[in-house]
Amino acid sequence: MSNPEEFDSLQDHHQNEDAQKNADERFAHGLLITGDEDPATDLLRIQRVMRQIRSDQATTNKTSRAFSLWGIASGIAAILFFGVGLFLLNATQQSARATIAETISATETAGDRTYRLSFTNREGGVFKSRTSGTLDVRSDNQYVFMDKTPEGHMLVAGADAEGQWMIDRLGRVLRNPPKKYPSWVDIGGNSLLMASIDGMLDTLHAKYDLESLQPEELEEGDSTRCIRIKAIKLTNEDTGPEQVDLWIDEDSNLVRRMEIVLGDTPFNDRMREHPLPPRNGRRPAIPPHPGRGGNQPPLQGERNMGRPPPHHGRMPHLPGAPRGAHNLHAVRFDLEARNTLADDWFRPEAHSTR
Amino acid sequence: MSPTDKPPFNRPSLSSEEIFEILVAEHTPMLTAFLRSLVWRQDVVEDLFQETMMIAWRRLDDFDRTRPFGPWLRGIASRLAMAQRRSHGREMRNCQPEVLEALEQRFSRIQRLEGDGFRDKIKKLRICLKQLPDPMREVIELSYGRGMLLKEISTAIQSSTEAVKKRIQRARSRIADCIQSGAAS
Repeated sequence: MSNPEEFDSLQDHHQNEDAQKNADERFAHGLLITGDEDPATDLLRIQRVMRQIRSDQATTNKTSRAFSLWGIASGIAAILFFGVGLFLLNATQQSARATIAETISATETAGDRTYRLSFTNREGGVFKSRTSGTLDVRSDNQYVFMDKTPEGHMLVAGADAEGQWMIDRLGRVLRNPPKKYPSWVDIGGNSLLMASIDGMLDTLHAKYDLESLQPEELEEGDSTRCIRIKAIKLTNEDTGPEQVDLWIDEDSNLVRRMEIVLGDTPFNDRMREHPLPPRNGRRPAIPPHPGRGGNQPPLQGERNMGRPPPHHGRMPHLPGAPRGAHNLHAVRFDLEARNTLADDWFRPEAHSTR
Repeated sequence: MSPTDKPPFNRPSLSSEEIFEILVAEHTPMLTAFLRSLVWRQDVVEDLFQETMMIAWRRLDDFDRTRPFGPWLRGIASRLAMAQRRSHGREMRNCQPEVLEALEQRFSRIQRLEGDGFRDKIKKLRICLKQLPDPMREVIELSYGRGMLLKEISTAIQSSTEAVKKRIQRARSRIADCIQSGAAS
């Protein structure tokens, strides 16, 4: 069977019928094609897998201590300030833990950083992106988020040594605010990443497949070389983003960009076509798919299809996030500046108008 | 669990790589068939196969060695395939989680059959083909055996394309029933 129209017959007939019939047809189709295949083709597949395993092992042995582990560990340490790092830490090889521990302390001296946030929402099947808000980060428990809501209110929220806080619409300081209204995780219908981080910290444990991709420029025209890490969720659980992409500065080991894709997925195609808005007025380059990661040529007649796109699944309800925030599709963090902020910047009193 | 489904982890003389190579060899036809049930394009099948095996290798320590290896592999493959909807959206359009689950049940039944390998386990396929009514067997042979397109088959047997399509659908359902009647027993 060599025509996609014929494969279509597996499904169009069953669009309104039950899963069992659909599965029956697919099952028979798979057996019929495979049963008729030359067993020598299996041997080629096996050889290709084993070649890649050996190639990866050889590469790892040569470079891991000198570059890869340090780079990955540094990136992980850097994003620990976001909290996201914990799940990556869990998902990373055990052998990297010692290196990570050393790197965390080194990264703590990186100083204050400001990230620009971009949100992409799905509204009626259409993606709408906006760059909005900043996140100042000093450590995993010292950060300030500021954004203007679509209604024109200035939203300021953060955390200091005493815990989380927010400034309400009347300018009052609320300590340890509830996750729901007047939740600072709800910004004009968006669920701020903080909510998902909360969830990630507690619920994600080694459920991502981590891959170190080829280093690349952050975007076209930006000479910053970045280590690339892609993490794809391997479970069907509702919590946590489907995919996390990291761009880590090779020189500073700081996270220059982090993208989280929360999922839902028929729309990820359009997400590719309408990516997050450009930074500094420039259109970001869509990260290339660098191939299947091995050095082996494809089988004869085979096309290299590259890395899988974002993992798909049901739209997660983020722990702590309001139910109305389900249309948030992706969030991107771009490192905008490294500043030395005032000592009291992370305290609410520095931002309160009352 | 049939002998071939039991992962060879308890062979102390083998390295992890050697053990994995055995597992790959044992499960390649099954995984290929499973992937072919999900997607049409051969290049996508090959990519998903490679991706699945590489993830399995990297996460081999996570695998519960008391359980059969095949379902674990298919679980990885399913998630990858769902993740790649963008590459083959039309093919995966109607492949919802419940379809994947039903598909997994069918492959699990096949895996429990006696036989030295996947192809041995599905040897009943030929019997099932022979049991098809002549018109159904004819279109299956033309489609899968000779690789003819629907249009070519409809010309060859002087029938409409839609009729050929329906006949293939019915034949596939019968084959699935036939195979599973053996697997369930």
